[in-house]
Amino acid sequence: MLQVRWCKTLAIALASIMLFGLAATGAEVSVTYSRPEDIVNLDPFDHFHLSNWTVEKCIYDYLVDVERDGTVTPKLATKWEVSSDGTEWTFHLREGVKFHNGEVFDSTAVKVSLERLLTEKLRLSGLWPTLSEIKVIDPMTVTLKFSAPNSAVLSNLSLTAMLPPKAFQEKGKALFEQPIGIGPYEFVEWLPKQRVVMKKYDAYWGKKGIADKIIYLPIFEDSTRIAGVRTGEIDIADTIPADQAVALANDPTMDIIRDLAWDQIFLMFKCDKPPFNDKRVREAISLAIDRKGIVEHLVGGGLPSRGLIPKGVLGYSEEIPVPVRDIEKAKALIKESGAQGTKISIIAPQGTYPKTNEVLQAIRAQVAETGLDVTIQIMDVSAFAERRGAGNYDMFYVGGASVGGDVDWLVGTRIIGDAFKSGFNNPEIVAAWRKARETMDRNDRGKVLTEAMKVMNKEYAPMIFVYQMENIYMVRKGVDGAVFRGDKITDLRYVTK
Amino acid sequence: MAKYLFRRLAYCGLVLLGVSLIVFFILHLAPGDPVYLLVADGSPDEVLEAMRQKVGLDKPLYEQYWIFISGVLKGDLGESLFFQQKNLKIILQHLGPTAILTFSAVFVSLAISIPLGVFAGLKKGSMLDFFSMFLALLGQSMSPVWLGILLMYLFSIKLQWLPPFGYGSVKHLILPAITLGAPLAALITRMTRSGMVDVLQEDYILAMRAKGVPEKKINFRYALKNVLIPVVTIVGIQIGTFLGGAVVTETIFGWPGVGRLAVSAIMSRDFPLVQGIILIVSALFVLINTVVDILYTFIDPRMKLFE
Repeated sequence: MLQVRWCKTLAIALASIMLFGLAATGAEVSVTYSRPEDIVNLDPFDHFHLSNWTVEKCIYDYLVDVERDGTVTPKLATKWEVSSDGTEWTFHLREGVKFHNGEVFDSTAVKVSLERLLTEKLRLSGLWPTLSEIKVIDPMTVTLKFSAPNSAVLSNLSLTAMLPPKAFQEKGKALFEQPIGIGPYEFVEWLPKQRVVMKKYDAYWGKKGIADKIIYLPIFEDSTRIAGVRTGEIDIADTIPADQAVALANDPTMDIIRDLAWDQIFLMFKCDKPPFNDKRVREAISLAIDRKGIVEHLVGGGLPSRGLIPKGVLGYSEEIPVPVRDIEKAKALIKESGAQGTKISIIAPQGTYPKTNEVLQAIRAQVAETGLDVTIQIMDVSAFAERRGAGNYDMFYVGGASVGGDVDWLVGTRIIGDAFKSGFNNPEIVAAWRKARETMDRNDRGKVLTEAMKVMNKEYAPMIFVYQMENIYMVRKGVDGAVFRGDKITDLRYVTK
Repeated sequence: MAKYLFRRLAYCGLVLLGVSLIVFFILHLAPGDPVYLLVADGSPDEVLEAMRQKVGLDKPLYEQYWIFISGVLKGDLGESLFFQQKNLKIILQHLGPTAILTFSAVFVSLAISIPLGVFAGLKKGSMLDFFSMFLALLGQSMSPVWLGILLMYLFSIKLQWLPPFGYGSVKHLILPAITLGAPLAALITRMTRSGMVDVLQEDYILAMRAKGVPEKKINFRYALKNVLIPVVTIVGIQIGTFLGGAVVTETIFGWPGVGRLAVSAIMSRDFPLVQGIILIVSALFVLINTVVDILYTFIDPRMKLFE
């Protein structure tokens, strides 16, 4: 008797599970994107995190958009003017745009949003050190005032979201428990370390999204992420290791896409003490490294670096040659400077960049040939960040990304601001980069940036660049519309399946 | 009983205090300042200092510890530096999945290993015995990393029977539970088997046979009870360990558990969160051991809780 009852219950349970499963699939199209990191929070102003920007790009809109190739397109701002001294930017806003909660987008929204950069101590404020005032001219016009001219204003605006003013003024930070956006997708939920879910916003003012749902899935383990694409649980996965990409290249269910990152590995020197206060030693190290060999044989993808500006970013130029390894000259320079036998160490963060161990071993061997005594110290990220921030290093190995497609932030913090206390002292280099910041016209700016790269390369200070990294993505066949960018802020707004 | 429990609780309190002190000091003495990870890369010193003040890291160590402990006594485990949410909320969100995984793994392990071990012990030298010991060897030799990825490859990619990762249904639980439980199952099988063999050689077993007690009753009611004592101890400790961090399994299968949370909190030096996690997990561990000790008295009446 018990057995019969048991079977019946089991049968009903199974049937309902199947029915439920069938009902859930329905006709809803959902695209899943996976990356080995989670978003850090839901406040678009309090992070400096590519995953956050990737998700926020779907939920929020910005005054302007910067495309993959660097062109700026109007978004919530339709046109803009710059004052002749470059310190005042006036934006004319788009009419008829509403936030997801019905609030109208106008200059008050711009003011309330951008004022956070001035009044609150937020991580995004780092992009806006010279912003001094936001002035409302009329409901559709707003002027931003800066204490110094800065041509990177547009790319910075493409990363600074617009918040609904009334909702923010009412709730303050509590707004970010259930954020209200203005973009083609609405925020549904964030389960930390599990997923972010967004659904299509049908009342969007612009080109509407296609997929009904977009799901962002943080999966930290590479093989798990790859398995997910193979089984179909994930539609697009990024940060695929190069060796796995080769193995998967022939899989008919997916495409492997390789995209140059706007991110290069560099080595920074402590320039205010021996041996790196001597230019000859810095030059010797640059000459000893075989960039081409590292790219071709160790990393398996990417490009050897020519200088600070990577390919794909304004100012890159192939006039500047890739430094070729010249070990004899390097040895001679070390001998000449008397630095033979000097002990130096290179510190690096663990696990952040592909093949860190292997590349550093190669660099160590190559540099040691010059007569220097090199040790490598790979440590976990927070210990590394502490030593770097305190200036406690001889050399360090790290990546530098051009977020938003512009080197301004990279240059501003690491060179002009010398945030890592390299102690380098070369006014010519600083002046060359400053000039680029103050050149408003895009074409001219490109030329000035190239010049600045040349000036910096001649001095080998405060850093030398090794190679430009590559981003590798796995996309299931049939999934279209994702736009991959060199700064890894993937544009998912128009994905389809 | 009440006096005993009260004494145990007092001991628990002392243990937790000691653990929290040690963890606090190790965390702060290790190189690595979380402030650098809380601000944009390359921020100037003023920004770093401002952030340090904002999160209270500029205060002297003893003051920071006191703030933490006094918070705990009020039920407030502080706020995570990186998530900007209350630690207790974050930990409980992750503890649920870990608990589910832990108990499933233990359940699956015991369901397989105890019967297997008992029959292997009863039929010592048979094919079943040989087969069980072989399986046990496999289970103990295979690292969870390898086993997990292997299972994923076989059941998710090739056969497409189960999802490769995630959290939310029984289907998602199967592979992680097997991966986590395999080494435990192997150990318990061997312990049960050798325990069975030893116990069956005891005099009282012979006496019972002489008295005419049925074989089945001897094996399952009397012998097994004695075999289970060390098993209960091991399982109790293992549950504590699993709750604290089946990190590898959780990472591979994308299981949103406490282990993975703890590791990433430690890597980013999220001091308040690490302290909160360690405190809660230690409390659970101590609690489970207390429960195990009480459980003993039901299995073995010779063991008394107190003299």
